[in-house]
Amino acid sequence: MKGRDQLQVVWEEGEGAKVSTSSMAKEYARLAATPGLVARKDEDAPAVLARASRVLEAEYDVPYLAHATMEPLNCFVDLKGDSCLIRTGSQFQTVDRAAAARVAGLKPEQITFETTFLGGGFGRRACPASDFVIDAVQVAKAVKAPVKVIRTRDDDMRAGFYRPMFHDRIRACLDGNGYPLAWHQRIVGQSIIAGTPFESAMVKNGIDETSVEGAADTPYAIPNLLVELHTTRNSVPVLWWRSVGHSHTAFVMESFLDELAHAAGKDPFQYRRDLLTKHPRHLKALETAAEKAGWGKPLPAGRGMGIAVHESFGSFIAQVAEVSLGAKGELRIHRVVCAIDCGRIVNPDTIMAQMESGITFGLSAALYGAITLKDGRVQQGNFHDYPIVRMAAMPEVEVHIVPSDEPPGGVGEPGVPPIAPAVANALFAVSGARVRSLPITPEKIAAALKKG
Amino acid sequence: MIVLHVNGKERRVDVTPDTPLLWVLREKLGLTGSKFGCGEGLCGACTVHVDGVAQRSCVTTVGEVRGKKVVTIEGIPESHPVKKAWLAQDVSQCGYCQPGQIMGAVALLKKKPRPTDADIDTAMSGNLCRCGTYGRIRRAIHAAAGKGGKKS
Repeated sequence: MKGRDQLQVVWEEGEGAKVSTSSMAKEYARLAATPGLVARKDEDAPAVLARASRVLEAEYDVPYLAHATMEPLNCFVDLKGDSCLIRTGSQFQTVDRAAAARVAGLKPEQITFETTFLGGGFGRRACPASDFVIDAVQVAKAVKAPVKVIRTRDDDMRAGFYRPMFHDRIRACLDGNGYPLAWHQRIVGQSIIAGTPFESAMVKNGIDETSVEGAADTPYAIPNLLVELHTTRNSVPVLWWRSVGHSHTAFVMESFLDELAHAAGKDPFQYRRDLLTKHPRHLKALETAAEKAGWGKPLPAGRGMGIAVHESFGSFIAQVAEVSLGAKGELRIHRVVCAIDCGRIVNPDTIMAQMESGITFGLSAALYGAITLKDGRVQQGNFHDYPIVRMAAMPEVEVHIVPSDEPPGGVGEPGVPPIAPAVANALFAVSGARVRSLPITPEKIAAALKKG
Repeated sequence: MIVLHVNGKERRVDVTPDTPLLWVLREKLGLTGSKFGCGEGLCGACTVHVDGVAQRSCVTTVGEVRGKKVVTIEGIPESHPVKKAWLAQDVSQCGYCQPGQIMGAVALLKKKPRPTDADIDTAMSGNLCRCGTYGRIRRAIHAAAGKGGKKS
């Protein structure tokens, strides 16, 4: 560290020198007002909306997010003339070994890649660019000795790769019974797959399927549905982050659907039940969570509940969040009741642990996490300005597993998407404040309360 | 040469007094149970005991702990009620923060043998866990305190 402090570096700032969250936000909002590539089209939403007497419209925003694993990126390399030992935590051994071989001038078979236990991955250690491995190999080449490269927390947080920032614009109208008749959604954000070896498999007709998953394939019975995508390009390095596209689509879908329920004067749980009659697994998860949470029963004064249901990675999860809003605008999450249908189960405790884990991870993004940029630089560097959930803020979590004989689905990621909308919906229920951008900060709550 | 007392033994290390204790423990003494998470005392992964008090070793210099008793995760016996409770509750996921969590819990229980949930909030909120094991940590602390995991 002392040696590093002595370095005098002149940086060539490159194309990203002027990148800022505020300029990107303006550009994204501008794009959302123009047609994009069609990801889903059922009937004719724009025509129905054009005729509608009442159109509900909302814009949603989520920021760049860091994985912020407890173990900063690190890698050990012992490079010799015709062989190489690499020791690191990795979710992507094949890709990392191939990258190391390229940089070292060796064949992949000449590289021994030892995977250590890993202090958190959440997708960060599955980087198609193999950045932290390539860094260490390049250092090993230069120093000609075994080397372990460890990133400082600051470097780890400021160098990317991030879950991309997204902006959504939705316009909808209701039928005579208050159910969604037409829904026109535009999604604006970077593609995490473009420029990676996965592009040919996962980007079809210009649409990165991970940008629209959870939205374009919504299960809700909406007769006129149009989902469009604008893929933006800028110099911010992006990557999958626990639950990938669902990490933002669930917040948007489950929040806006809640807004429609309230506009229709209907209970948000009943509204969803009515729209999911053809989807028994979503329905069962939803009903289980609502029942176990005591949805509809009187709550202690000052408390409210919000609900969300979302399918991802083959599993169906519903969550109910019970919250209160303090006199100074402090949002407190008291309890989360989670129901999961993940198909045939092997180890129930692992499922519960992963739901507890995903909920905590998603809650950090719902309440605190934001990576912002100004003048090409990330503004956050450590846990004081990129906070995560701590013991004192952790709600009680109850997990109920829906018995099933279906093929097994995932549990590592699916617990993440529903918590942000469940909390946002609970906040609305308890206070009338609708916050449409994450993280839900006291300032945004105050502004939403003023809007009434 | 600096003389330290670590896990009941006298250890001599040839470092400058301003060297962070965490790096001395890991690189000079081979005690790699204490982890580097943030380098600024913000995450708790480096927590050790100095004279029985939980302290962040990444922002503690070796000079500061001369003549004091340092205990690391390696110095907590496997039979300790906290370690046993951790296993019984299946607390750990990735495990990276857990040595620091255990050190925090052991120090808390020394001070408050029957901590309330508020005590746990205060004592443990400096130990971050990205895997979300907080609920199980809380249950394990109550179990180790002899409450059988019941909330106070």
